[in-house]
Amino acid sequence: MGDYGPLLEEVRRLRWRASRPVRGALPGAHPSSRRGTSAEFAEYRPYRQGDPLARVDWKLFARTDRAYLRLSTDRTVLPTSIVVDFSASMDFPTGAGSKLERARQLAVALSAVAYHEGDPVGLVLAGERVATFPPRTRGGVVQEIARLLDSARPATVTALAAACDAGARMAQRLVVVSDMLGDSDAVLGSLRAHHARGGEGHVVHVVAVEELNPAFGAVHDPEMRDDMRVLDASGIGPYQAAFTDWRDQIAASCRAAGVAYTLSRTDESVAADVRRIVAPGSLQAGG
Amino acid sequence: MPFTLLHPWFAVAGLAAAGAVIIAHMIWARTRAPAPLPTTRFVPRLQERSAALERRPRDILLLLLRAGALAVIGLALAAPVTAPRVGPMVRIAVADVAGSADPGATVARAREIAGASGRVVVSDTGAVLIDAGDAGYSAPAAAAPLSLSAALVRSIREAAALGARGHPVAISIVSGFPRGAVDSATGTVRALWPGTIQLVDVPPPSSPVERGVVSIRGNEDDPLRATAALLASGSGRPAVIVREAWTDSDSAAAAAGAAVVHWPREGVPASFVTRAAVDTVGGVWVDGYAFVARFGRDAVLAVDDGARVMARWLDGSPAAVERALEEGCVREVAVRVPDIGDLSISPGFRRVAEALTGPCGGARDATPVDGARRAMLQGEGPSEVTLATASSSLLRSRLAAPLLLVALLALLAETFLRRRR
Repeated sequence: MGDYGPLLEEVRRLRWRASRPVRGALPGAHPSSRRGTSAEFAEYRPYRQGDPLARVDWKLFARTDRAYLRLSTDRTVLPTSIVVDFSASMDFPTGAGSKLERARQLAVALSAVAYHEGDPVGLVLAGERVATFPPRTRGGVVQEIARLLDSARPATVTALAAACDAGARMAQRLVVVSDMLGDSDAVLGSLRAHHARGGEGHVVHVVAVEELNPAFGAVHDPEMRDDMRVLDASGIGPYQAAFTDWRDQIAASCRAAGVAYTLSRTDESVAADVRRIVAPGSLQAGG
Repeated sequence: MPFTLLHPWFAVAGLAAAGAVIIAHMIWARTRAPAPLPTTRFVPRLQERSAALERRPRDILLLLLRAGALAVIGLALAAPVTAPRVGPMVRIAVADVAGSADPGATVARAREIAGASGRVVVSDTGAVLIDAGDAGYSAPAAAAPLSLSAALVRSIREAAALGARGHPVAISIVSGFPRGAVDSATGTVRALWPGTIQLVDVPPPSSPVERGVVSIRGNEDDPLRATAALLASGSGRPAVIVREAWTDSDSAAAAAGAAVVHWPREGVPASFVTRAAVDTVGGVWVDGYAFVARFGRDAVLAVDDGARVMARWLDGSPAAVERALEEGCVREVAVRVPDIGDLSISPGFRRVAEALTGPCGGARDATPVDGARRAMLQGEGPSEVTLATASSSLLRSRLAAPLLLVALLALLAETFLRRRR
């Protein structure tokens, strides 16, 4: 298993609050869309026949001679699924410093943050097959997720959208860690539907610095070996412009779908990226 | 033993191709394994290969196999032949007994010209090669008309074989040079020999033999009876078509000088046997004329005693033969004439029948060849032809096939090696 200790230490104090009230029954840290009886006052509501008399604010009744119920904000848990793209394109550059390694670290760190928040956290691996690990709150779940991530290997053919659908069925918060070089339209469609159902979606777009400034020479797509091209000095400008345009389109599409978008470069700090992802208002801030 | 190349330009081309392969190996096409880049789709499509000249060729073993195979193929096509030590001159004398009045004298003259170490090609019913000193060969008493083409082919082939062994070769033709000695193929065949041919004149054949009256012994309804009535006749010796069983009187008529043609209406002549299955070869070749008709072939020649073949089926098998019998001759014809139809009176069949009922030994035209054809036969060039001056088409390289085999093996090895890599 990879050494995630320093990273987990860096993100230990982070909080990851829901961006909007959450439907849920189990007590947790996130504001619930349901009104409850906690000490955190929310509002008064006129008494209606059938309301329990115990919830009537008798002091207010004494002052106003009207019966009101004192409502408070409930807090609940937010089940979180982290979908990690294990396509071949993620295994670039090979070895340490790859996008896949970056995705593993992000997934472990986000799992830890969610776990510390008291939320159930699960994992979906979008490899050759979709492997799911349902959200759990038990101790050791982060280590279990790390072990699963380390044991998985990249696959040439993946179905990231199907993995997103699987993750959305298990959790209200869905985090997709991917380079978005696969079926990005289908992924965004799945996240859009998830958002429409009241869920919270995050796209963590992993980009290798070697993709931003690639070396000159013959190159080929690891997922489409027939597509071989030559990148030289005359082509680097158009390449970077096209790549930037495409990333901007992905970000804009995410924002339009109500999905938070965070760009994660492999040459930057993982903890900093995690802080940007979990920061309140990340849905509005974008990458 | 020194070598020489019959087609040196092929060797030059092979070496050039081998050189091109070497250069190709030194031009390093940048096909080294392309680096993976997941965002390749954003790279503009430019030229996908670039080339640079290397100082050292790549894949030395592959290079050797490829260049070697091409060079060997070029060498094989260049037809290397060994150049043996120069031997004594050999003369080949063609004895055109068919084109001379006295076959025996013609052969004797040819032997004399060829000398003891020479060769004699007797142009008889075919071209027969004999050693000049071979006393076992006896010249035929009379020969059928035959052009010199076959004898020239045989002579030139023998000359090529002698030339390959280092002998300068000269060719002579002993003939009366009648017009029939030169046919449409003779010029082409003669052009194969690069030297001059010595022409030795002997008395030409006697005056043309004239046809005689053609009679037929057979039934009244025999279709050949109509054919015989249409055939031309002259004052020569008679011809008899026998459509029934052979009798002693037929032999006597032949011995007396007639051309007796045994052309049975049923069954097959004595020298033929019935075929297991009748086929329709569809045509007869006789006296330089091909007549195509729906003949059924039901007999095949079974006795090969050197009889002169008068007619052949279009596939070359004999259809009619002639044997001399004292003053005349006996002919056997195995061409089945259909009883029904007008084939027997068609002009083409009449021409066939006319040839089969002609004078014994065949009609011959003793008119001498004209000057142009005689000059063509004589030709130009050296009188003695050596390997160096011989036309390459006359010589065969014994090394070409082994060299091509070596090249093939090299190419197979190259394929195997390339696939392994």
